[in-house]
Amino acid sequence: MKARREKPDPLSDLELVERSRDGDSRAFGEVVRRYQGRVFGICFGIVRDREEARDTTQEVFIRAFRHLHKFKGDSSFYTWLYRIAVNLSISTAGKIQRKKTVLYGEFPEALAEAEESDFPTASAPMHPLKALETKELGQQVGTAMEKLSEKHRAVIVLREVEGLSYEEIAEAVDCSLGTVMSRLFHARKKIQKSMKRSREGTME
Amino acid sequence: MSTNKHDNDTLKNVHRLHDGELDEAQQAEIMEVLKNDPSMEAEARSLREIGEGLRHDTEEALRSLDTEALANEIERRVAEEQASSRSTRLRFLWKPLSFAAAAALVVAIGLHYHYRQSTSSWQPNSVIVENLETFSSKAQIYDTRLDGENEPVKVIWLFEEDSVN
Repeated sequence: MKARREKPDPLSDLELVERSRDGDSRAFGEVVRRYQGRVFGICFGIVRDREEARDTTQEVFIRAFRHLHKFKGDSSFYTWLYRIAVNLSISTAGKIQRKKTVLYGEFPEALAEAEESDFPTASAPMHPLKALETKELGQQVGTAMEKLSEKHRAVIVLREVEGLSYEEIAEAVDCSLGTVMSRLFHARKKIQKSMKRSREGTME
Repeated sequence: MSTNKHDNDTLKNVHRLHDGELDEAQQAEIMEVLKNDPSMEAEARSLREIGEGLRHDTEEALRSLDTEALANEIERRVAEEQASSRSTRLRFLWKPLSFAAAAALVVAIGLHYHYRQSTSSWQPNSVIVENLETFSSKAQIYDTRLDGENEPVKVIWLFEEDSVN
């Protein structure tokens, strides 16, 4: 009987970081593959533009690589990485906002149209009716997210998409627990308000 | 006023329950509230919807992302970064290294001239006798390399006039 070849345990984040610091580029490649989806999710949640989120994701990893020596291991690696992602995304979102203000400042209708066309949707592998509902829900929340400030977007994405605890969010966005709770609460209230308005508009 | 505050605290606890930030006792308490208060139950449902909508929105965006291409692009840029940091390190090293090389060259030239100067009047493995003719004063005999080493050794013998004669 053939002996079953066991897969080696995947390296921990810390081990990969250590190896990357020693110049092992494959180790950093593993870090990239492990976290690129999540980092992109955070960037997209804050930036609200796929192409910009993709570019920001790239910058997040390059910056993380440059500053790996600064990671002391006091916190988990992913909160350290998410912190870079949040900071860069907030900065990118600010730049986009300023650009939009210059481009569409005098034509708010054009801005609304441009934003709507930014989100083509793909089919979801679920019951058609449920899929339609979820798709609509996603669009409603997506539209509501665009009306939030970047800081509000950051906390809600870290909580709802990444499932971080209040403490981890506080670390990632560099603020107190109280501020995290307050931002989350207000972000949700704003989203609820926006969704309510959108549903009322659809029903009329 | 106190009812408002109570409602507000309950509302916040509904949010904390949704976020999984309540301990077991608090969870049980809020679950009980949700059963009996339709407005709080609606709030909890709305929070679930926001979460679901947001996750779906993110998944949609993620679906359009070519993760392999992105990873390759990042790896390529990391490799460039590594190469540039190596050349920066070399540039950093170049100055002290060139300074040390220049200093070593100066020292070597200095030693060379010093050695030549100090050995120019010497004939290795030979004996020079001065004042042999007159012997009016003490004769001086010099030799070098008596010990076979590179270091020149200066030996002086002093002779009495009588003993030479």
